[in-house]
Amino acid sequence: MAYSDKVIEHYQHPRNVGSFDKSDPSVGTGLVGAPACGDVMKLQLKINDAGVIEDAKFKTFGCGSAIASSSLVTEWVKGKSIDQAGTIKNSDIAEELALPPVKIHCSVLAEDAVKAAIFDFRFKKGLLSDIDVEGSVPATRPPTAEGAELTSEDITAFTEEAKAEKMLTYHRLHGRVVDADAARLRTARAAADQVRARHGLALKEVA
Amino acid sequence: MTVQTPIYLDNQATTAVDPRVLEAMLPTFTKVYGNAASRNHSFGWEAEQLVEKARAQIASLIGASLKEIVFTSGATESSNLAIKGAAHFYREKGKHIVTSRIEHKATLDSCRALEVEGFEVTYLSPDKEGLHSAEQVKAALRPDTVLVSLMAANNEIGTLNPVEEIGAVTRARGVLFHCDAVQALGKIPFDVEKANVDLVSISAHKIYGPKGVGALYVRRKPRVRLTPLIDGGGHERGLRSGTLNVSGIVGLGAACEIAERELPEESRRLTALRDRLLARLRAAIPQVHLNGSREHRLPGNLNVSFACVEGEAMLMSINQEVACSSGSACTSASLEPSYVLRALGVGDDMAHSSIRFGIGRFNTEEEIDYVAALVAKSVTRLRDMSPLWEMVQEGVDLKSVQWTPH
Repeated sequence: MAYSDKVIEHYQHPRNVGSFDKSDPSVGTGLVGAPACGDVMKLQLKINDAGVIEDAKFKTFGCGSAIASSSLVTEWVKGKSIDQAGTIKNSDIAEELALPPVKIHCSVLAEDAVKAAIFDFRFKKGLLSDIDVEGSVPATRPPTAEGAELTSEDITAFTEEAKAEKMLTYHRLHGRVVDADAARLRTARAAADQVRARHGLALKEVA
Repeated sequence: MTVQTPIYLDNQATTAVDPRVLEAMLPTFTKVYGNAASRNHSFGWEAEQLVEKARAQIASLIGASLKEIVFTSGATESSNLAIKGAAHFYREKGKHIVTSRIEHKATLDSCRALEVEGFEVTYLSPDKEGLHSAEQVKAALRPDTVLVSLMAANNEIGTLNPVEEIGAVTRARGVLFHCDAVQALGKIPFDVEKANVDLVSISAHKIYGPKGVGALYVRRKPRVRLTPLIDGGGHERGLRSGTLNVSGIVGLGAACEIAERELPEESRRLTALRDRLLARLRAAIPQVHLNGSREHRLPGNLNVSFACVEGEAMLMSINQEVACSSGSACTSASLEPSYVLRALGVGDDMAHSSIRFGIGRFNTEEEIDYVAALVAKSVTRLRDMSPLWEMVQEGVDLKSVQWTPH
């Protein structure tokens, strides 16, 4: 694989490698990708009260293009507002680094990492609508269910449980717990546990 | 002690031509350049003499007789000829073939092509070290099985199959046994009589010979028949038409002669270098996982996964100084990690982290020490920027994380 000079330069001298404390309320953390796919990016943004990104750090497991893409976005996002940073397009990253077609997914991952970090910050700050929070939960296959033959109904049950869980967490974090959240999670968990029981997986509900 | 870089450690991909092999080949370009099939002049006779000498050198290395060696353009052609040729010739006898999920692509794709024609293929799964047992082969045989194709040594992980035990099973059942011995040849003892093999694929460029030439061993007693792939002037007793590549054949012969003479000593030396490399890596960095078998392994092959470090990134950081290869998806056109490692159940994450070091005749102890230090340094650098390594250090079980595959 012949890489562009820019990829090699970022790979050899990556900018802003490192970590912030992820429990810091002014830090948004995005963790995207999967080890099984060969790339995982962790991008962290330190954001001030005016919503401006003051600092950024990354760690990446992946090929040279993935490392270069994440290094590049940490440079780009600094000094931008979170709204501006959220508009960074993977095509801009791919173009800047002259990524070959088979490496475009690395730039997609970097864009996703920025969006995930901003989402995490807004989640912490309570700046999201309930619809945003629910909408952020992907179709869920629990890691513990690896190898099980899940139907689409099973995945719907796990996804509903994850949504209910996330909503409760969000409301609790911002002092907005409503009884309906807890009730929703109980119902969703009972349904998910039925699926777990059917596949011989450990139940979540500790009665 | 200084070492010259870049260091070549990809000897399972190909090898440098041994200067002694080159020496033997040189006269064939400008002096003995006749067509070995020309029967009416000295140019032809001399070329034929060289070809027959090479045939004897190859036969000697594997315990075969002269008439059992057929020259080809390389092992891919040899395996195609063996598998398709036997299947086609014996198609009235049966339509079932047994092979393994971790064979070379030349074998797998020949079998796939036969499946399209209506043959049925059983793909055996190896154990977690990449091994197949004779019992496993026996259990897969059917009354209509005509051919078993299993390699002697795996090209990625270096695992050695129990060829002699498998050969005993196929012989007892009257099933043909094709063995891709490309990686094993000249590296470990391989005898066609002891192994009871019927067809053996051989390549020159993995044993310090030139590229573009190989051979197929075809048993005479009991006689194995093949339908040829290439028709033409009837060279090689009709099994492989085409003017013989005299230069290449002379190179293959010379390479076999050297391999036979030096095998015991070279095998000891490469095994020691391989074990030294692994020991040095493990002394320098944690979580170095050996892929394949420790015990049943090719002398010069070391395949390891460095947890939490992606293989291509690893190669990129060392490729100015050392040449080796990875089972990572990012090094393949398909973006799929190594099918061999996946078949072993290594796990996709570890397959992405695998590096194959192929140690060969011209590598030195100094080079091994240099590479071990360089690789350890690179792994440490990449782990420092790996979110996975950070999570592992924090005690997170990576398998418990809900990832977002893309």
